[in-house]
Amino acid sequence: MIDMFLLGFEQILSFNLLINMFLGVLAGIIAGAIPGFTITMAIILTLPFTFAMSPTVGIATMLGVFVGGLSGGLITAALLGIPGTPSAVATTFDAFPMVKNGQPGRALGIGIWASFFGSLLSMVLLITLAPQVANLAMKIGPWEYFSLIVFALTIIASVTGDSVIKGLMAGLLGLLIATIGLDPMSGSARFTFGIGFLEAGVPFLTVLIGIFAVSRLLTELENKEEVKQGEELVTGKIKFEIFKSLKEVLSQPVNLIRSSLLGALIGAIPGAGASIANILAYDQAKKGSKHPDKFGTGIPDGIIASESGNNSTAGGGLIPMIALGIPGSAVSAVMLAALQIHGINPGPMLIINNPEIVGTIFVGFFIATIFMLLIQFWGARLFLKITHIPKYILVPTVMALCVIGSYLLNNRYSDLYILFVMGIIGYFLKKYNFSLAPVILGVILGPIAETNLRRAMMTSPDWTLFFTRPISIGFLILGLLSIMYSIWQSYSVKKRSNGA
Amino acid sequence: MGELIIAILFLILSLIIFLQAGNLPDSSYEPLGPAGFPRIIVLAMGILAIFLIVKKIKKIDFSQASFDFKNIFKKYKLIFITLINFLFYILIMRYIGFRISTFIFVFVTQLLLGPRKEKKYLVVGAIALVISLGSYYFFQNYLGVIFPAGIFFE
Repeated sequence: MIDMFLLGFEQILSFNLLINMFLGVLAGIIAGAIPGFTITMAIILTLPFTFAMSPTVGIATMLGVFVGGLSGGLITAALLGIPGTPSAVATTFDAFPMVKNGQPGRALGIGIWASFFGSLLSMVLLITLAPQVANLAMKIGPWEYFSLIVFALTIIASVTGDSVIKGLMAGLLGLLIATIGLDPMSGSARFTFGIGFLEAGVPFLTVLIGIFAVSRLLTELENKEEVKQGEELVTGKIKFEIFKSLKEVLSQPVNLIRSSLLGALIGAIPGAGASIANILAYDQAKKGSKHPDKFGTGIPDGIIASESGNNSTAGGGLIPMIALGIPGSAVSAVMLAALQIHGINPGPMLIINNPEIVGTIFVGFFIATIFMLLIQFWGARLFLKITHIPKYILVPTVMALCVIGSYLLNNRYSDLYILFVMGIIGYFLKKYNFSLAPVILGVILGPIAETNLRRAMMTSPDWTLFFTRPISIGFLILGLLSIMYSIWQSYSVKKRSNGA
Repeated sequence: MGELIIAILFLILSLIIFLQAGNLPDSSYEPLGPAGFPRIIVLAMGILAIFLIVKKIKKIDFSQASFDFKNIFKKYKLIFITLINFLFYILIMRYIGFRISTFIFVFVTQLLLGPRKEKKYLVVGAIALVISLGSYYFFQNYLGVIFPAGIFFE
């Protein structure tokens, strides 16, 4: 084990590698901050650059982009209320209100430190638990997958603002949107109503940008007078206190550790990633908190949970890749491709045959996290200037960027129509207090849920298997408890405020 | 009031989808065909929608409800303007190309949203230019993305 570290350090401490990794982290942060760009796309774009590099440098650079990207979403999530990446959805819940309350420096500071510690903790987990966790993840069959998703979707009920019913309805809407298009198993066109381009389905990224970004931008325009007078996004002085935010993050060790563990575990499960982890971590933090009603108003707890949760999926996601050579997500799949191009075959033998690669991953992870910390804090002052831009300039500009972001995905013109419609839907849902995160969760998880449900039924029409297989029933029970707990929590909050 | 309308819309959506799903073919080799999952979804959605409708109808004071479209229009004028501009932007892009349509959108919308008196044409124009041309050249040349060029340039 130690020799792997030493090998890793030996590789890392080359100027060439460090420079490339630094650039990777920087590129990752910027890519993560642009809504619609996604970490996956950034990593894919890094791939051709790595051909010319040696395998260790290539992997280190990709790690840099990955770690940077996970924390980049924080910037726009906090300052604009728009998640730059799906992994920052839950960050908007508390970071944006905190910024609106006139504390943008604090929001960014807390988010950055939380990302840092989440990353570090998942690295520790990666190193110690790689074999064991990979084994567990492999026991998951379609029944377990489906139940896991039911569990994740019930989290929706608690992530919502005021109403469990509305949250579930929003989630179901997301699931429904995901069914539009050609059915992957039978090939029949579903709910396209004769519109040709819908046969390709509704890309979830377009839904994300439309429902979150466009609706948020439109909401900023509600106060006609303020906008006309050149109101800025955030008024008030901006203070940036690095060590104070460090203390704030460290003052919530339970939250931090729990969210990171959750993120690492979810990252380890193939298919589930940072997009789900941040919301689940936020939910758990809210449930475990003594003041759940304060979540969503701009408290540090929410930011800490979401940001450490999403960054820790990096370490977790690398576990199946290193231990079994199976990619847990698109990002690790691209990393695998990069290794294969260099003639290295990832798999259980990787640790034995190429210890320097594994060592580079371990150490590189750590260094990338440090770079991320440095770049974020150094660049944060620059990012904060965004808040001084008047709304009438910001809104059209960001809207144009949203169009670019959606178009980038598929080079498809019809995606823009979908963007427009989703923007309107998002605006109205938001206006009447339907939370938006469940819609996104539904769109992401819907196809996975359906595929696994049908696959399970095809393997065996015995539907009781969902309840007899231990891991499956475990998830379902957790889901039920989750709904019941959040209903109970909202009742007790209402009772408290009525009695007070 | 708005919540009630949305709940009703959800219910209508559930009904439409449920009926549409009936047109989908059954699958002989899997018990849960293409219609199964959507039907489960809209069944749950419909039930929740009815729940919500019942809950909200009790609280509505119908005498207070007003459909004063003129005032609504005035209050949300900026949003309407932006949405209409956005729609135009997307529609004309395929005809006049990405660069010009983006420039027009960003330029015009900024002016319409901005302060009435001291219009900063130069700043607004510069920003529109940077966004439209800058992103075009960056994404096209470095990332190989091909934006609609419009009929003038093809």
